[in-house]
Amino acid sequence: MVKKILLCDDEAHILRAMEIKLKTSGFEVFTALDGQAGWEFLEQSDSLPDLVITDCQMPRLDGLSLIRKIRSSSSMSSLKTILLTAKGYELSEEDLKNELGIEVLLTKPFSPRKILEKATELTSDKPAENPFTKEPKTEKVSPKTESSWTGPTFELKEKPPEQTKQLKTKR
Amino acid sequence: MSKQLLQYLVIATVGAATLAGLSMLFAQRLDFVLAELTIFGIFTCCSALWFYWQLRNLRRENQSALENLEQVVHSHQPDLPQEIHLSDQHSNVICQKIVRLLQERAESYHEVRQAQALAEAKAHQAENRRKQLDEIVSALNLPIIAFDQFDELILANKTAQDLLQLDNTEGPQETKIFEQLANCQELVSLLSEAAHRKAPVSKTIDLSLHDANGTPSFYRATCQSLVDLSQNNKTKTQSYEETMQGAVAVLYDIGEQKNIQKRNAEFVSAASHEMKTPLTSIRAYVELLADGVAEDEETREEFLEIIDSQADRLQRLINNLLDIARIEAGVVAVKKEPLSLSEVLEQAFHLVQPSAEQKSIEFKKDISSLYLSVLADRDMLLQATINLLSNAIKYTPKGGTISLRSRPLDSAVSIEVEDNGVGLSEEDCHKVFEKFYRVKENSNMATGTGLGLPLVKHIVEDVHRGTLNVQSEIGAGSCFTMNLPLLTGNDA
Repeated sequence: MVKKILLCDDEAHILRAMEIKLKTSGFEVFTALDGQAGWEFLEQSDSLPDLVITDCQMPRLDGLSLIRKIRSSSSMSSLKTILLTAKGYELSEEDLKNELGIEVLLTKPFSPRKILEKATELTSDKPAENPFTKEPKTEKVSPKTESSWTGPTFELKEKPPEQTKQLKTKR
Repeated sequence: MSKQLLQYLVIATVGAATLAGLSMLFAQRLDFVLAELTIFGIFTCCSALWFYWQLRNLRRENQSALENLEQVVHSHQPDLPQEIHLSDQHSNVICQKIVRLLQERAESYHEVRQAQALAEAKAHQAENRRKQLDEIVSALNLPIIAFDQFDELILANKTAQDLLQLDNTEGPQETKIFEQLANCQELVSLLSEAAHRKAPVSKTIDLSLHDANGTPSFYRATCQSLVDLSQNNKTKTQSYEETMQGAVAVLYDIGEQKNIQKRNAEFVSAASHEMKTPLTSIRAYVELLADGVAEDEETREEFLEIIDSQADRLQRLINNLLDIARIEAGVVAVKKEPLSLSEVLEQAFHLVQPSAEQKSIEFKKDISSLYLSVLADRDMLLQATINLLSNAIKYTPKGGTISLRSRPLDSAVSIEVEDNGVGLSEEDCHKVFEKFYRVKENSNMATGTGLGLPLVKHIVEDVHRGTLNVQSEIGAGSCFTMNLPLLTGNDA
């Protein structure tokens, strides 16, 4: 069964690099350019992803707020999360794990290989203990009326060349 | 009287005996004469003995009186003898002695008076000096607080009283002060420890004190043991402990230093954050290329272009950082010269026009036809104008309008860059000039380092003594206004 991952990052190039790496490794990847878009995707999707990888600093809804929303939602609280950050000393991995149940904190500049390694580890079928999950969930999440995600996920082949072209013209 | 009577009696007796002797001699009664001479001799001897005895007693009495007198003079005894018996013979000697004693006494009294006057002058001087020191310590802007060796507060100047909220006007002073000092236990411990050390000690700690509202303020307390240096006769066996007088602490306000440290830490964090983003892209795409993820030449080319653009972004960021650092440190070479503002604005307009055209933005200029002369660094002014115009292009959607205007004011010249782009909130209008601040909602519209506007502010306000302001409304656009001092004939 193909594992699903939601990627949230406002840096399009970084988002695309992670998407390529994970897709070529057999994951089904959804992308969002900010936390709000990611949250809307989670709310509207029929089946929740196996993992959420989110950047910390993003417009509209930042990564920490997104994870807080996930944890406070009854249907999503057990979602596994990886937080990406370019911040230095301000964040403590230990605190984040204790307060928000974040599985992994990766600081930039990170390697796509590392992302793949952690994603594989967290989405493996071996039971992993999530400190934030108090008891295993038995009830199934009720399907939403909308059949598929229509959020800001962009297609791999289309948007990045367009953005690269924009960058070229700016220089 | 009795002594004089006795003297007359003796003279009369001697006279009578002499007459009797002479009459016997004329009557040739030698036996009577001999008998009389014998009696007379015996009488003379007895008289001599009696006189000797009297004289000795007199001397003794005089000596005793003299000694008594000396004792009285030297011992300062208030109970003077009722009378002193002196013989006429020795009265002169006694008087001389008394005079000499009185002279000595007068001399010593004079010396005592001199010493007393000197001591009083010194005491007065010391009191004046103490008052001066009190005033100096009180007027010092540095809080000073001192304990004695028994942990009792012996000094807290006005600044310290205000800072530590010491109110010694009412109530049992010591208790009250120590209750108040309980709020700054760190300081009390520091002083107490220094006051009880066996050897002089100097120690410095950083501490935070809270005011009545609970707002913390940061101080560096330097504490020094007080040693009695006046004890020059300190023997080898006498330990320092015996000369320790307590401890004094001086508090230095390090609030500003802390703020600078915090700002520096935030700056470094923000700078590293901004650098990590392009670095992450570079690293990711290099790794993807190395892993052979790019299937075709076109994708590989695209990855390389991303790496190149991100390296450029990193380079721009570093250059901007260095520009700001140079201006802030005052090491940038500013070449101010009288120049025509219109020329600089025209140059900037032509440089950014292609970018506006690419985005189909209507780029208008309304540059004053007057010759407006400003004393400025051409390159810096050009860079500031280009930054404002580039920013306007970045945050104005396709088909928008941007205007570059200039007009003279009373003693300044105003340069305006107006757009009808996304605009800024009131809060963002203040924050856009902070380093690395980027409006989150608009950060996807264009790449940026968050250093462009802070650099413009530095160039306009710090280098050229002008002003930079922004007026904006979300959705309606922004207008950045630079005011630069106009160069007058006097300046030239």
